[in-house]
Amino acid sequence: MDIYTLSALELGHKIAGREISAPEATQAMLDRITATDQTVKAYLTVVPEQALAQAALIQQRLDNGEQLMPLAGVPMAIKDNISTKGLRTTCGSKMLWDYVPPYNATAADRLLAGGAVLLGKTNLDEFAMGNTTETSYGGITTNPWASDRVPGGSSGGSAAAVAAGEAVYALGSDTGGSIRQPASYCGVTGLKPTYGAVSRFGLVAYGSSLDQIGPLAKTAADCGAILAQIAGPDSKDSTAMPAGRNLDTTALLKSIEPGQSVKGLKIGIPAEYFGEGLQPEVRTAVEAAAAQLAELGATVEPCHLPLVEEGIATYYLIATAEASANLARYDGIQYGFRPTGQAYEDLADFYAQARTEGFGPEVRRRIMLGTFALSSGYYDAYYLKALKVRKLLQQGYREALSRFDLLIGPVAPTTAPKIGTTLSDPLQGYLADIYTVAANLTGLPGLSLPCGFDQIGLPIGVQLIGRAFDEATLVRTGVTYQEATGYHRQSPAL
Amino acid sequence: MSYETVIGLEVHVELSTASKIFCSCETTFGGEPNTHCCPVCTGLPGALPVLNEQVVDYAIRTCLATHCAITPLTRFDRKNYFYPDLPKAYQISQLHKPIGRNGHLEIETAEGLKKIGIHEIHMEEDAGKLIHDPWEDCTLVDYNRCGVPLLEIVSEPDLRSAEEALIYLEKLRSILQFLGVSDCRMEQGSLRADVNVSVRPVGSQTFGTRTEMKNMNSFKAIGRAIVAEAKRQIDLIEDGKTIKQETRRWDENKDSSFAMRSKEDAMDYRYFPDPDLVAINITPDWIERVRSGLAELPESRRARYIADWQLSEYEAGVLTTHPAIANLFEETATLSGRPKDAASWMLGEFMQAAKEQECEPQDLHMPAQSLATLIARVAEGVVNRNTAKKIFTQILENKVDPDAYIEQNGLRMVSNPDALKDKIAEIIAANPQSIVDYKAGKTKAMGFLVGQVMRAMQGKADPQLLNELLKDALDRA
Amino acid sequence: MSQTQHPDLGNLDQQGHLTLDPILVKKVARLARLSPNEQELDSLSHELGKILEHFQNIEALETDNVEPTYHPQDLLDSVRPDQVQPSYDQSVFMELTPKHKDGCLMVPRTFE
Ligand SMILES: [Mg+2]
Ligand SMILES: [Zn+2]
Repeated sequence: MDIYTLSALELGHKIAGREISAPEATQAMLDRITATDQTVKAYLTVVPEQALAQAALIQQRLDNGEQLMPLAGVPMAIKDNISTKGLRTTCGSKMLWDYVPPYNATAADRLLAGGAVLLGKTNLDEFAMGNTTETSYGGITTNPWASDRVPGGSSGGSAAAVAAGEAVYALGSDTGGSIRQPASYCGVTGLKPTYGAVSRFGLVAYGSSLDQIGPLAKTAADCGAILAQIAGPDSKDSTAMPAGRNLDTTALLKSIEPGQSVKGLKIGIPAEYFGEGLQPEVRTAVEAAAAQLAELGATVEPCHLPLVEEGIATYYLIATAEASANLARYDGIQYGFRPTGQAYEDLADFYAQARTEGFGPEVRRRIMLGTFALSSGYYDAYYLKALKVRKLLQQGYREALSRFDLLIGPVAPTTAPKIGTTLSDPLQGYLADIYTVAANLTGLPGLSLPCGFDQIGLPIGVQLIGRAFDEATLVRTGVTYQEATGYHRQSPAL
Repeated sequence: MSYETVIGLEVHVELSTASKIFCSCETTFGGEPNTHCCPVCTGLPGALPVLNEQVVDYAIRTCLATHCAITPLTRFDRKNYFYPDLPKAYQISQLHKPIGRNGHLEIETAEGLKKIGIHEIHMEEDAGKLIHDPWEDCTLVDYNRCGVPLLEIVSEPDLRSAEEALIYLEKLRSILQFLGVSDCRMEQGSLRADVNVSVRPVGSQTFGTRTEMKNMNSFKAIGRAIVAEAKRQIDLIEDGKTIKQETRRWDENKDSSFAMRSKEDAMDYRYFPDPDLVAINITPDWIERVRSGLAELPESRRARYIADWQLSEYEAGVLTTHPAIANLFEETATLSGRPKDAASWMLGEFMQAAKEQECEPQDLHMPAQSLATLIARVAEGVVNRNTAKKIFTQILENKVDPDAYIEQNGLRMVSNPDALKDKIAEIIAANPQSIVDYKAGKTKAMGFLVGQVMRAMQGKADPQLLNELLKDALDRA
Repeated sequence: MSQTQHPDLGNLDQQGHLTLDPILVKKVARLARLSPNEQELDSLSHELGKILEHFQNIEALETDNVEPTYHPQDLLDSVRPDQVQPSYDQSVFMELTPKHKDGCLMVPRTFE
């Protein structure tokens, strides 16, 4: 048995039962990273000594009989836009290449406090702006299933690390599909929680009203266990839901237990999610997944959702507008990249030099788009308009979810594209987010599950969208589906 | 032609909270640079703001005192601009849904009462401090002030002279101080004003082009700047020139203002609702809770002093210039049961002491209990007024307890006739010329002898008894 | 989309796609404190033009009586009590900044 093939709950169980020690598990993962990450390039930073020291400490705490989380001692990775105290957090940008945060993100803190072992920080599209992990200053991560393919993005490093067995699980962030889409491209399970379920404190902001931290793992049960550890109110984040209105952790933990059922669940299958541009193999696999759930006892019925195509414009206007302000702080003065050339005319020129040199082209493009959408004379027609369409979209999804427990559809229109094919046409790249942005605009939770492979063996994902703060139903459905199918247990030959 | 000056004021006032508006760092003025800072107030990547409830409370108080309509769902916006004193490159402020709108303040002008409109009141965060470093030819940045809560109180352009502007500012300052929302220490920059000035021919209904002078932090400078700016604008018009809408900086030393270098493109702050913060639901209950705890404002206190304690308009006015003074006076009046005496001490010795120590009267250390005791001892005849003045100084300077001090220094007034008679005999014997003068009808001689006896008795003689006995002795001499 | 509908944005290129007016692109770049070179300015005009052209699919939607959404959840009143917590050490901020002096950050001169 190779340790890196175990799910997080399986490994956690073995560590708790003294079958495997935490340092042993950590060493196995570090060895795997050494063996495969030269090809995958999932990590921007690996911290072997720190990880081993941490594992030893956790083993000691376990031996002392301390009560830790079920995943205590399990080695994992964190996307490099989630702040880790004393460990550089680059956001895949030249701008923050040497930036070392003086504090931990709340989500990271909760995992570490529960006994997680941090292996390192994973690659991403610069500032999470992208869906291929090609825009990182740290280079391109490859898809573990085919090295000429992208892993998806922006949490491409986290998805690839889990798929390649270089991390038992990983944290990602999802602003417009950045957990679900790479999970789908890499054949792993990814969960974007309801907006407000997990604290954003310490997550380097891209689109503040859309960003959520969530898990990528081998199974839906793992995702549920990780989410239970990181979710909950946080006095440091005004947008994290207070107790009572946040998700029910007890129900969530119950949903990860074996022997779940989807009997009686009503699942809607929106016609608009199967439109033009959907790769036939993706359509077939997603429809098969729906049929499988029906066979397991759920009722699957067709339904309609409004504004699926308009979601792209709505999403990009809101996300980039927020980003234009969120990224204004990077100016070469307080921290991060500072241009070396002393020749600047004035302060404005100094800022422009730092920002033009420090940001990559996609980040600059999105800052431009967002600045435009907020600028005087255009605010009402673009930004404000998008905020209003967002309301219409919310109403449509709320209406659909008043009739259904879940909605089912594809995660992405295609399987992983070849490296180098997406960036040449930014608009085409944006359009690929068509099925994922709605969950962010509405704040609803979304789960991406492996549900098959295309003709050349690339993984396909199916997406489940649930009611706000009802991650338990989402995870329960994932667990049931994964007990009946084996797609999530397949791993790439590396 | 005669002109009228039109003035609008944007007053920024720092609120007296313990912690900053969006983080838990302390707000104390000063301190080593960058020591009252955390990831939130310095805008580190990933840090998020959480609103200090007390700031909303103080804002509601101010809205109530200025008759503003309170916005039920108030929210914060980001104001985007790049400057080194603003670590996030945006200031969290309010544009779309400020907490208060459409209020007013009544001021007393030479022509009678005048209503000055309050356009809006909004909450925002302060920026950091920039210091020029001439040695390195660069600017140094201290973020300690970043995130200190501010209220911005924007008046309508209803003020018509520098005098009116100053009356308005003084009134506003006193209200803010009485509400307990700010100490308004101008020397520490906790009250600053942006001054908008334009002029127009008397009778004209349209406004002239206005200029703005930013960040002024002394009333004196504001008054002079308004006068000078109005004159500058009138001179331009008279010369047939046009006034440019611009920001000007007032140079206190040169007593004149100059245009600041204008940006080549107009400012576009791209305000939008801050997605990191949620709307604040100011319920009627919340407003009532604040209203019921609202401190009594100076006007009402003044009226009460006049009606209940028979103080003069003038006395009541001076005693309500600052809450610390008013509080000390009221407590002393109540404890001693002698409001008139309390007022007399406050207006006399107390104000005099502040002048001598060159400080604001509210900064003097004077426990109400001590002053009340002192007033009582004078009334009881335990000490005379002159001795009491000395004790008053001792309380201020050495924090002495008046009763203990009287006992320790044997300051009780001597009202024993025998002891006085001996001293009088001694003094008369030593000053034969004075007796001659007295007999010749020179009243000054009497005063001289009283002073001599008083000095010999270290000021402790009962003045009335001393007068009687001395006169008696002289007449018999 | 026709050109006359958006005279404020720019012109159509040979393929009939919207190209943003370079003056507008420059204005936005200056607001964002970015300084694209001539080549990037040109590609931004085309790319942003094409993106905004596509985004006009939300323009026709009837939203006159729709309230804007600021947040996915209708959250209110996230506030904290007025309590002081320890701040960070000055050294934390000095270590982050590339240049500092006497506990202050050093920046290009701002005083005229
Ligand atoms: Mg302001
Ligand atoms: Zn702070």
